[in-house]
Amino acid sequence: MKKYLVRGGLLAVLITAGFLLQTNLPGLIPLLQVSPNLLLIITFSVGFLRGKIAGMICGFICGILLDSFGGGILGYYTLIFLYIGYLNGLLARIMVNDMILLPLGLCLINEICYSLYVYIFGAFLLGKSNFGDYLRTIAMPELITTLFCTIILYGLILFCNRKLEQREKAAIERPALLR
Amino acid sequence: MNRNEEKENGGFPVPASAMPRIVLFLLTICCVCSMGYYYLKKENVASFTQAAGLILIPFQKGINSIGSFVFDLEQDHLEMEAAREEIRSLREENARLASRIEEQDRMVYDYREAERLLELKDTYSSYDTIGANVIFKNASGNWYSTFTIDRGSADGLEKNMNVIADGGLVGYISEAGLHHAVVSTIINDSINVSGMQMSTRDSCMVLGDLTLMREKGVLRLDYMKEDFEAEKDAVIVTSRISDRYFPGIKIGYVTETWLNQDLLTRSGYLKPAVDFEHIDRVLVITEQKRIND
Repeated sequence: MKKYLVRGGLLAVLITAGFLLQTNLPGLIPLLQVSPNLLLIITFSVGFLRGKIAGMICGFICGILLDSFGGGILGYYTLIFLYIGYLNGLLARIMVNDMILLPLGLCLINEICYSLYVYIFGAFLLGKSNFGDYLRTIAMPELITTLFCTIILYGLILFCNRKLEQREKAAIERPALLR
Repeated sequence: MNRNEEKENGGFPVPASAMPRIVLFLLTICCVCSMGYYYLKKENVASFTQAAGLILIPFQKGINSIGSFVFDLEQDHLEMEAAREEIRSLREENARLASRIEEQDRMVYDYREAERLLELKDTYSSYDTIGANVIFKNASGNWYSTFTIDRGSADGLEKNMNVIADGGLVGYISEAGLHHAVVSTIINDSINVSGMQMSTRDSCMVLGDLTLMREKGVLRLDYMKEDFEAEKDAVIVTSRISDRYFPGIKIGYVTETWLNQDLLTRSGYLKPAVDFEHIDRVLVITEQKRIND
């Protein structure tokens, strides 16, 4: 039970911090026109490092947050974040997770999927078809800032994950009486 | 499946390994249904805004104080540079304005006359407003332009109320929580505002365009007659025919217009009166426009 409390608490702190940072960065850094998609980084990192169930929970919460505060359609972001968490969870532990190129590659693929989803589903509402403009003014800047943030944030989540695994391993090895 | 396996799975008649897939499937259906509902009814099936707001808003208060500290530091740094630049631009503007005063007098006269004719005495300055601070920006991602303010239905805010800042139109409230509300701005792609040229009262349409706004800092003007009289910097205000916005709120200034190929309509660009990138305080008009009132 305690195990789940720690995991859940950590996830809640991560998502809260990510959301607050994401929605405040354009105000804090004046030259930043687009905000990095920190919740996307959190979702795919958690999915990739902790498996599909954790990825789904994380994606669902992130999506609900964006939908609630965006004032848009409920389920619009929830759907894509849910799948990002789940699909990255399927990839979990296929590869060694120490390389720096790996999170960047993951970020690239996820960000492309996310942008395509937002554009295609949004196109019904936006009523626009100039994908080139969106690519140039929104998708590309967002991709670059998100890639940049991935290096820091993925490292942080990786660190938390290691600590968590060590803790849980130690808890199992310890005799029940001492717990 | 035998009884033992069922017990291991907590009584569920499916193997544990299939659970994530089933949950994913169910949640997908929920999301798709919710989106479908919105598509048909133009409103959300349920709102988590209240709950999410209760948890997150207190944290935001802390961030705001950090934000204003950083902002002050940066302001000090920029002030000198900005001051020099401002002196230069003010001189230019002064010269330009002097030549326009005469013309403005005529326009004011025209405006008063038109105002009298249309009984538009009460411009938006006479409406009751309430001030609010911006707390979350771009919470709906970079593909939409929305922000969250720190006042909600507890302060008398309702959906569809007009939001203004710096004397210009910002947008409308698209969702109101108890202590916060979400504002959709007029630069969103799906949002059109019917406007008119302030002095001539020629009507036009201001079309939200996020990509154009990001690139050039302007919005599109459209559906104007070919004789639309709009020299540069003509003021466009909201018109009476809008079903959402009060008349007479400044939207922005014309930057250029051109005759379309059909030679019957004009299109152009409009520079919004509000600096959308640096909004931190807004005013909400606490009245709603009622049609046929």
